[in-house]
Amino acid sequence: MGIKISDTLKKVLENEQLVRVIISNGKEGKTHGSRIHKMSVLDNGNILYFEYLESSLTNKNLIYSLWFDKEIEIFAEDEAFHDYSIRGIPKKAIIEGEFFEAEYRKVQEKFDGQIDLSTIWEIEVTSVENTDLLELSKKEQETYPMIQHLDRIAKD
Amino acid sequence: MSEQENWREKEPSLKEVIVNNPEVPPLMLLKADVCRRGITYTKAALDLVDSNIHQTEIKYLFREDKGNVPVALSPRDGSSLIVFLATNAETGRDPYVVDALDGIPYIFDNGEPIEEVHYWTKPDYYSQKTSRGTEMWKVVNARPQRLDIDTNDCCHFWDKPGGGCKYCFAAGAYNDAKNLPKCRLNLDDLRETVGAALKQKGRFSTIMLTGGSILSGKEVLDDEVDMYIEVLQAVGANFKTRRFPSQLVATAFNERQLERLHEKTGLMGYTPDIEVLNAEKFKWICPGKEEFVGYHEWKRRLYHAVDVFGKGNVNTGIVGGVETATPYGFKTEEEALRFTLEEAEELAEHGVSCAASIWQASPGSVFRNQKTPTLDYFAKLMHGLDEIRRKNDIPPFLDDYKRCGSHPNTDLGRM
Ligand code: SF4
Repeated sequence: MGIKISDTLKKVLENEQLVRVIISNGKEGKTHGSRIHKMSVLDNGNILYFEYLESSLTNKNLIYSLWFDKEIEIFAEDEAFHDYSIRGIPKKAIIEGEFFEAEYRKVQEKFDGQIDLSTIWEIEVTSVENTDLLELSKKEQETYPMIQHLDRIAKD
Repeated sequence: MSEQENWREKEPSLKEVIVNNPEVPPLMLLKADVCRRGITYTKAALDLVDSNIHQTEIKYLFREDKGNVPVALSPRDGSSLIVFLATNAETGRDPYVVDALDGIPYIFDNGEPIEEVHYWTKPDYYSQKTSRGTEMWKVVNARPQRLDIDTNDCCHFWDKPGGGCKYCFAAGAYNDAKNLPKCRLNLDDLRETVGAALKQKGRFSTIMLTGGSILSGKEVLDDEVDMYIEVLQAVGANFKTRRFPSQLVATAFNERQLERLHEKTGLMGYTPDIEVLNAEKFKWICPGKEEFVGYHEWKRRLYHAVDVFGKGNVNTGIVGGVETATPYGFKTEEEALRFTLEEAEELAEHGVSCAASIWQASPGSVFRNQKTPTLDYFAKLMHGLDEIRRKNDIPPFLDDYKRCGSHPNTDLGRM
């Protein structure tokens, strides 16, 4: 059973106007990031990632992760520039069936028949982190007060 | 304890093969092992079959069944498990068992659940009839992403007793099929059925044609070529592009035949199956192919086919493991692997990759009751073939998990 995604994060992940990136690695060891065009969150907290290109490096890396139980990462930023890092493991490659065909038809309509749909990947979430810079910086200073430039704490 | 009861003690288990072959995905090893050992279904698993939703119709050779048994399975990686129903008596090993677990079909071994699977779903056209009244599922078979056109039920290598391939069970159909027309299909039925199938958007990615070898004609195999031209033209009438994703699994044609086929049809991919990667074993196992084409000529025709269809659009099928058949096969798995991969390397240097199926000593074949290799052998064979394909930069798509699904080694091209 994966980690639950909050309603707020679900809205961010499903918002096609926002920047969302999927980062994966594979057999050849090439780390690869690509823009997510479509993604949705299921009731059980799993993420559906829609891959349009059969031959993309992301598609290759996701099957590698599914086969060898390796994590991938999804990066998303909300409208207020708060960043999120979601890690997960692909559990299913959906390439046929009623649901796939319904989504395929939507893709055909949206892109006027110019783009195919290769695979809908179901990803089980293993961790969610807020990676907002200000918050991370604050946390770093609290946890490791030794690592900062001195002038930042010098008297005026 | 009988020979068949203690087979598990004599060869490495799935778990051991997974540990010993860390570069091969465990799910692919399971796939290879399921193909090797076959499956049975429990009643609970069959109770999950809904023949309105799942594909239970089979048209293969003379078999036309519409029962309640799923034709095949898919695991969660989207590939296919094209399995045969087996008993321990046939394979000398226990088949895997498909049972229900929390209302979902699961593959079990020794009572332990191994992997979730689902049954293939029935395409829309299966319930339709052509305007001549033929049920469409009898015209064209379906896989999850592929339309399968079986053109004829007779392979004429069997015209001469013992001329067919020794692992092949088509011999059993020969007497019933030998006097039938060269093509079993009505071309109007075919055109309509393919047209109906294409209406299901998002379902199909390729069309595969195959049939038995037809030796007659002005030149040997001319009639086979002519039949495929007619069939491909009927299929092609459904497309707006001149060429369409397609694969012909057929005999190795000569230059004149192949160029005619390429020029007159929209065919994109060609797979003349060499079956065994060794001249001597080929001669013994596939005597008809040896007599009418010959091993070295088969290879030469494969290389020429790359010039016609392009690199990545020509491959050849091998029956993985049959090179160890007794009494004239390789004596050890090490030797079989070394020679097979060496020969695969030579093919790949000429742009031809291999699609290995897993040899099953099918009842009805000359090699029935023979012992097939260990899972460890198949693990090394599929990994070796995939590495050779990568090294020689041959695209993996012609016979991959979507466009075929029968070959664990071509599945590896996904990553
Ligand atoms: S070519 Fe060989 S394997 Fe194929 S149908 Fe004929 S005898 Fe069987």
